[in-house]
Amino acid sequence: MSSERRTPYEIYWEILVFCRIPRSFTAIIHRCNLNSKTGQDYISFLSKKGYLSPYADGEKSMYVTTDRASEYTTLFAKLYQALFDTGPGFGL
Amino acid sequence: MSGTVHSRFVSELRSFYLVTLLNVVFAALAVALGIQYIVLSINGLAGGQPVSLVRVATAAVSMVAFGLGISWITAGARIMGGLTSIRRGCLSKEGPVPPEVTTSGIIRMIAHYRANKKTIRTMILVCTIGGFCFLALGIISSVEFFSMGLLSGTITLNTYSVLPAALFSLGIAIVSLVSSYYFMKFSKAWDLREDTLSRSEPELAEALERDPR
Repeated sequence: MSSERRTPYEIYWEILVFCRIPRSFTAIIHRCNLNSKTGQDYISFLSKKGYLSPYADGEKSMYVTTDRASEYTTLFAKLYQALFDTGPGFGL
Repeated sequence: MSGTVHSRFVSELRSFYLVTLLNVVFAALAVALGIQYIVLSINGLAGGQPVSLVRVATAAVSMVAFGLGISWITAGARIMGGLTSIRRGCLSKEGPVPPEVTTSGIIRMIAHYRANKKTIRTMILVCTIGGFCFLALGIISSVEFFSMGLLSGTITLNTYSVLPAALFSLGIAIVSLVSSYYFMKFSKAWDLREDTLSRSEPELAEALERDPR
């Protein structure tokens, strides 16, 4: 999946859901299909907003989603799933 | 809610995958049939048969159908590749599907749609033009079949060989026109969803920027 076809909001949601379990920077950019530069930008933004917090696991530096993010992730999931609750669908 | 949303999403994916698969299969048949018509036309000319307007028209239309068939296969394969990956992500889970899997699938599908919107529009056009080309081929072949019979006064066994190709062309024409309709329907549904999501972006931005309570 090309990252430029996802909106920043979609990428934020993917990072926040993936980081419910502490994850390393490499794991995040690999899973969310981001390059190091954009990955760093997204993680910095989410950390600055208090949605991600650093998590130390020995020498490993990781990130974990904070409780604060649940408001955003819930609203996001509600909006995206609502696309299939209402409106015309596609079928044979 | 998630179960219904997931089943609707997966069902849509399956339907679109089937339409695309059908397209690729018929595109391959279209290419084969296009080649067959071209070869028959050239063989007829090389064999010393008179150059008729019908033969020239058949060769021209079949060349267009051949070209369209190639671009049809390429476009279909590109769409199918993405769909396969999204379906695999949504179907491989065992037990109840977590809502995150569905949301993630929807994100991937909308991203796939955004990336391939132009290709899908091209496929709608190719399917429509291809459908009419094969409709023309089928009609030309049918006319050839009847005129040959009428001119000779009798219908010989040889003229019947045109009939299967004519029916086959008509079949491909119908499938491509029906595909075009379904691609349009799919495109309309996802355009509407994309528009709905664009309109909900301020709400997401507001939630993201909200200060901690």
